[in-house]
Amino acid sequence: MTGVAENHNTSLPPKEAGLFKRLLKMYEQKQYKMALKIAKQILSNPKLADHGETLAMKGLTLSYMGRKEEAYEDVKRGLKSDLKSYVCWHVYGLIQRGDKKYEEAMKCYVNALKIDKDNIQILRDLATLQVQLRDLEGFRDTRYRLAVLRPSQRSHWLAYAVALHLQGELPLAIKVMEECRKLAHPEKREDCDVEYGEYILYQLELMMEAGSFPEAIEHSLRYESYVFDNVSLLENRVKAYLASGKKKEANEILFTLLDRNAENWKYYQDLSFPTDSAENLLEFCKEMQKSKPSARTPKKIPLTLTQGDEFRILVRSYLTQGLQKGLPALFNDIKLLYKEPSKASIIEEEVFKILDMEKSRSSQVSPQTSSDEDLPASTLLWTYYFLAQHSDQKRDYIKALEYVDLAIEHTPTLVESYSFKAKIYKHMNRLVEAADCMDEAQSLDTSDRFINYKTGKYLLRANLVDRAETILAKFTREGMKASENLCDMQCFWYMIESARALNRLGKVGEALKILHVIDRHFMDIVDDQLDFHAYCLRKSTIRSYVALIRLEDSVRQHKFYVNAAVLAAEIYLQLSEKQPTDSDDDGINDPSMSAADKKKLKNKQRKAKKKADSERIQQEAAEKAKAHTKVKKDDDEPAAAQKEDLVPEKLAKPEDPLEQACHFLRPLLVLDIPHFDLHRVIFDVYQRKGKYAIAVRSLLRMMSLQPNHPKVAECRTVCLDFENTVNGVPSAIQEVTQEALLAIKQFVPV
Amino acid sequence: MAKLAYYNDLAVGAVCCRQETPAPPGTLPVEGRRLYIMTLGCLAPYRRHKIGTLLLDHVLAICQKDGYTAVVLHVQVNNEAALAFYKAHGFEIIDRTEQYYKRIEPADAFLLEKKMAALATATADGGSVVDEKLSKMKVSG
Repeated sequence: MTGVAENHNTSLPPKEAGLFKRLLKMYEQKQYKMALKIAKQILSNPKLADHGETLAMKGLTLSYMGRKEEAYEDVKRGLKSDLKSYVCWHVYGLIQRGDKKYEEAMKCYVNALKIDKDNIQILRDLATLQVQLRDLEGFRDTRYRLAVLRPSQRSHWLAYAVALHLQGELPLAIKVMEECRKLAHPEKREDCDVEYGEYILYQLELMMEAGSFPEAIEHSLRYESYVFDNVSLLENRVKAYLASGKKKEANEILFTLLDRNAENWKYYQDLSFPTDSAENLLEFCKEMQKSKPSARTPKKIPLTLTQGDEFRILVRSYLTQGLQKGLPALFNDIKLLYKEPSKASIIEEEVFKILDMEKSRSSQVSPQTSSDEDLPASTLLWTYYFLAQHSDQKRDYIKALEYVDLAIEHTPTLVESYSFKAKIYKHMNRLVEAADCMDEAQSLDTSDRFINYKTGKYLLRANLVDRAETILAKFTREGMKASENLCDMQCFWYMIESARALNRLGKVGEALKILHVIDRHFMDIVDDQLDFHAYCLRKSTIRSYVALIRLEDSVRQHKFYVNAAVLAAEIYLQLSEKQPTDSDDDGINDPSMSAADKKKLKNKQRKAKKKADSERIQQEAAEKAKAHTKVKKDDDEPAAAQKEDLVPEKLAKPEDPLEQACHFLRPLLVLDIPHFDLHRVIFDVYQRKGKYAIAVRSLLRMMSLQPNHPKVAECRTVCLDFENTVNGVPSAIQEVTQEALLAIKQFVPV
Repeated sequence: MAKLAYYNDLAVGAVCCRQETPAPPGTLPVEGRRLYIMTLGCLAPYRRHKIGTLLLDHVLAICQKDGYTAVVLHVQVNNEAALAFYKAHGFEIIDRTEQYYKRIEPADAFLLEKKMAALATATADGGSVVDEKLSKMKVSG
């Protein structure tokens, strides 16, 4: 809730002025019923029936009680009768902000500030919306005004520094931060709190970003003892030392960091040695192995540095250890070594040796009589499991299945064997078998959420939507369909897989519905920032706040959104290809069907439709009831802007499919995402829309990503036809496009 | 009453037992209550690691705690390994049940019994104490 600027309007008689004060107090305390009563009391005075500020407050109160229409009416009436009141304008802004009409709200705040230019509350609200809408210049100016108005409050300076940072004015941001730090500097070191440490670290980050490394080094040394997050401080200092060529000093700090955490690969990479030879790091890793015997990274790095026999010896002991310990992830752990074929074959040879040894050991009647009494009996199992993964990596799926079956025969209770068997089937494109196999794995451990979700995913891949629903329901809330619950919970992997399955099953409308919900979730993620602008500055978690702002700027480049957008565009492209006809696309027009079959099908469909309709009506009634209770529950929150209902039947017949596709693709055009399929659909959609510049740009990206893809050649042919068409477009675009077309013409696939 | 035995985090053995069904009316009542082991097993690759002993000790501990007078179980007549295992743990053959198994050959089974009374002093240390060498294993329900 946001407070309303204190009223200085004295136009009310003393009695009503007192009431108005109480009205404000009741509103602040969320006593909306009381507030409403007082407002009505003031307005009941015939002379004051049109009192603007009271009407505004009454409207604002109503909006928090969920009575949106009346609220707007009152607020607008209030504003009309008192256009010179900043309270009225502020309230009009607040109520629009509640409906997410941020631009309109901003205009209202600006109007309010014209009347009362130094109103702190309104300036704050304005700043919040400016940063939300990324009017960074405006944000900076507003923040500056706030800081100047209250120069002793350091939180204002802090916010000003952030505004400068976002606007890219780093040197000034550093200076402001320094003033801010001085204001916060504790008298005694013991009094230092986390907040002060955060100031120092934020200032350090600004210096690093500005590239002022000597300054950063000095800063980090001087205030080291005030900082609680020591690791960030030291990591930044390493970066600064390395950037200024001070390798020795960087090494010193890296040793300290490695002592804290010997598993961070980056620390090893940043170490400098007198010569460039890999031997140095190898030696260092050996020392680390001695001082940190339980650390895995110093054992793993040498595997990347060595070759031939030296590698063989190291990898043998690494594998033996892992297999004896029974590390399920051993294969994934060393998978990166498979980039070098010579290493892959050495690994294969060594694992075969271990396999032979283990086989002969297990065939002995009594293992306890031999000297290797302590060797575990499970090594053979893990060796089979490893070999299955190894063969799968080599795409030798038959062998992989053999090994995984041996593993299952050896120990039929290991869930991983079954789930990996499912994965092999998946790689063989035998999706139903894969799903069944994963289901079996799941049946061995029904309380494990990971294997449950895997099973759901595999079932969806095999288009077994109903079975997936049943399995996933084990972990979703009771009394609600699993699919609904997972969509509400923003469970994106599920939404994507389920939309794909529905699309494959021809349920285009339902698939589109899910995709639109994904789009809305991403809108929500962007909207949800709003609360953080004030919160983060108050809590002084500035570094995370700036990271959040940057994340939100490109949140749609997340693969979940990109995948949803690609699928949506593909579906809409298909829909735009189809001739719009009145008859449903239900297979009736299939000429291969006999007349009798057609009749049967029609009857079936009619029945199905009837059933579906009655179900839908019931469902809708239930949903309405639910929505009703929800409104009641959220009484003290302004009801969020109502979203249009998504109806699958309607979605499957869009008026302008290409425009719908653009709705999904547009946010991605400004983000440069290296995703071939994305650019393929962008090309197809925008080429049909006649936006050749965008299409051509995407083709250029496709050419750089996968030059030999057949689609590239196809698009080039389409593209070279543009030349005749582009003459109609504005000359600036034409020029760029011509240039790109030339590049496309001259392009030779490698 | 069932338990699983884990070896290196793998489920490799299990035991399941229940109170013996009371003798049908008219027959001679057996003295006291007996515990019947329905199944006790360990996957082949993990045998000879004292997992069976661990599971059996667990059963004996139940007997001790709940005051059963004896443990009984069936073993297929040709299962030498199992017979040796149970004999080593103080079981004796008390009967031969003909046509006990319906789907495997030979279908006859021995009925084995171990009296608990005679063990009253011995079980104190033979209960559910896990051999320290077998710290890799644990029993869990």
